[in-house]
Amino acid sequence: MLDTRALVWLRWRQFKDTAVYWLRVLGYQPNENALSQNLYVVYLMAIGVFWLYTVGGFILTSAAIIGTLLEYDSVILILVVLSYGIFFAQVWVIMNALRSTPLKLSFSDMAWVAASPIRRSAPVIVGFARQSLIRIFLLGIASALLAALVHYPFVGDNYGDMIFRAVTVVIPLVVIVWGMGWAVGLLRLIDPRIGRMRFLWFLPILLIPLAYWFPDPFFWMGRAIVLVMIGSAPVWVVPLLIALAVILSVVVLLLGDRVNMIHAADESVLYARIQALGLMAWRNPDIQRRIFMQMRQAGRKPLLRLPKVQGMATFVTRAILSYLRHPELLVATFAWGAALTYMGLDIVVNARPLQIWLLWLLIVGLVPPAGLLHVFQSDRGEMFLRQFLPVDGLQLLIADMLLPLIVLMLGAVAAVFVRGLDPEVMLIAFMVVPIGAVLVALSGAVALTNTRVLQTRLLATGGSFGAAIIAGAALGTPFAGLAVAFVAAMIMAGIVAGEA
Amino acid sequence: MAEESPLLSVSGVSYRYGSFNALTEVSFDAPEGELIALVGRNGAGKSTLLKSIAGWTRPTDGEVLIMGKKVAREERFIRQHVVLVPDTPPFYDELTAWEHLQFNAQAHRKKDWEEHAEELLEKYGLINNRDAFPFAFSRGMRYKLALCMALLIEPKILLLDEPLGPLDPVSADDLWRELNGHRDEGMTILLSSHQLPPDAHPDRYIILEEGEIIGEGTPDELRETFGLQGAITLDDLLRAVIRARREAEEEALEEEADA
Repeated sequence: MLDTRALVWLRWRQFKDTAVYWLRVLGYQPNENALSQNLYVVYLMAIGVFWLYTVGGFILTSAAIIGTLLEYDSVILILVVLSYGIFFAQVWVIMNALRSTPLKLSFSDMAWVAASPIRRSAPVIVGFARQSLIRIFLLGIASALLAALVHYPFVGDNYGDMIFRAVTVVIPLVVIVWGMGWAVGLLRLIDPRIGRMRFLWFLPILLIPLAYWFPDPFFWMGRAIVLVMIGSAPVWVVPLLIALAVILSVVVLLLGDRVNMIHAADESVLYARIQALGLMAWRNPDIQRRIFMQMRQAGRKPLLRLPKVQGMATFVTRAILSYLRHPELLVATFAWGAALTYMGLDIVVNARPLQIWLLWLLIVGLVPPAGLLHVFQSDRGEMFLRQFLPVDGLQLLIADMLLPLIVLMLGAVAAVFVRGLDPEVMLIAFMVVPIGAVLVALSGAVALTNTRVLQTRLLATGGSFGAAIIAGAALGTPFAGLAVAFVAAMIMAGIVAGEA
Repeated sequence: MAEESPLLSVSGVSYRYGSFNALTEVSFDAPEGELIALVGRNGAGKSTLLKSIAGWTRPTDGEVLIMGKKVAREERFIRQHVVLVPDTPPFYDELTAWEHLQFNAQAHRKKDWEEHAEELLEKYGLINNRDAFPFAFSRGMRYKLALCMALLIEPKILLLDEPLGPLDPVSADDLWRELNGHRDEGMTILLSSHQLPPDAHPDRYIILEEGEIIGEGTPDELRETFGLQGAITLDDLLRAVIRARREAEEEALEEEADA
């Protein structure tokens, strides 16, 4: 108990230090131990609470209003999907726990907690509680929104109780779902025979076909949660959920005492490296992604070999090899192309208002396809590597993005087919896809030539796509838009050739 | 005319970060086949000077010429003849050590590069790690791989930023021997360091302090200028040069006060 208390205190101190960091960003001076500084913290907290209350209230009210517009069948569909979703989340959590330790240790934890003579159950139960609390908080917000959205057919205008039930039921739900995951994951850390089974983490996938044939035992929890949320659950459901949550917490506690901390530390290296980056990990997600990719690559033999070719062919084959060794980048690029094209088509076909166009443009500028410029970025970003490449920026860009650009266009074409358009409109869509993909790539490349990457990308994306959209809309023909897009592409290509 | 130009000519190069002068009016020439040690304390401007020569940064004033061509204008030409190896070189996450060499050689259209690459890896003790990914290497191994990448394309000018820091003493001695060999083959090598192996004798020293060249010359010239005895060690040299500079500054201050 003393060990647990010490660890809880340690985590509280760490939480406080992080909070102080953020308060410093807002002007708090922790070194000046003055009353005015303490009052300032109270003031900031009051503002925060007020902001949360008003904005949260507004969002909930908006969701409730949208909910009144939903048809009964749609509401039922959402709730059915929710009950399935809870089962899939459970499978996903168990898979993750079998893949890597659920008990994540930072480097300092490895040195001072895992290596100390405290009871091993202490870091396990504190880690489990911390992880559960964070999830309860986040899923509680999502659950409240969902309840506001689907309330109407069940409780009419009085949705306060339903939101309360939805938020409360998240507590046992999170403890059960993650408790099961932790229990399975800890068993792996206890018994080396289980730990040695490399592909064990695939096993939970087998639950999915089983759930198809025998839905009741697998979907009962999701259904129970839905029933509690809408206020139709039998009396025994909530006590059963609470009892299950308590039992699983005790199981986690008991298993925690037998965990091999060396295995836990060994498997926590990835988490620890990202955690050591601190805020940098949030400010620069590329670093996080790079660490993930390095760790994944480190455990594999290199796939294929770099072909023996000369000159430009070397650049192209090297880029293709890089993508083949990280196929997830191509999958992400394909998905991005498909999703954004589908959205764009929806806007055009349904003649959505200007605000929706702006939102679409903002998404294109803010969330570019991560894989598209992955190789170009590594060539361009490191001067040591760039100096070995005797080609100009545009040549390099073309070689580096050839494969992902094709994949991006394939994604876009797939979306065009899925959307289903008139032959005439489809023809225009197929003409727009290549130039649109090139504009996305060039906007990203131009941004990489500047130190203010985000601002430049937003400007380049907004400028190029915006000018093309305006030209197309003003002159009433898509060909005008295509012509403007072509000119914009030429200008950006010139910048990349000269600067990169 | 280009034949008459020195291989490397740095004239009046200054570099400012905001109000901070990282380099002030730095000028020197380097002919073919010379090994120059650029020495100075931390923050003296050594790395900035090397980056300016390699074209990684654009000097605020002055210019760098390689074989008579301006670094700022002839980027592609410079990339074929000048290589800078920084103190912590980065690598591609997706390529193995061998593939880094292969990619470089093929990008430069080198023929029969494989034997040379194997020889380099053997020489620098990386042959058993040829199929490993460099991100898993130690700092010293990473530096050695970066050197192999640089040497494989046989640049005319090799710039090394703190090459001896990441290396163990034996590897540092080996590296120095190798560098002498490359110098004898006609390569001009400019390396920055604040430590050199005891038996390391560069052809020329350039001493930087607060972004300015405060001493320059062959070991004999420096021995004479600063009244040093016997074989010059880097420590002795740096101390003597900085002492001389401080004395000069104090004298100047006294003269100013008297005036």
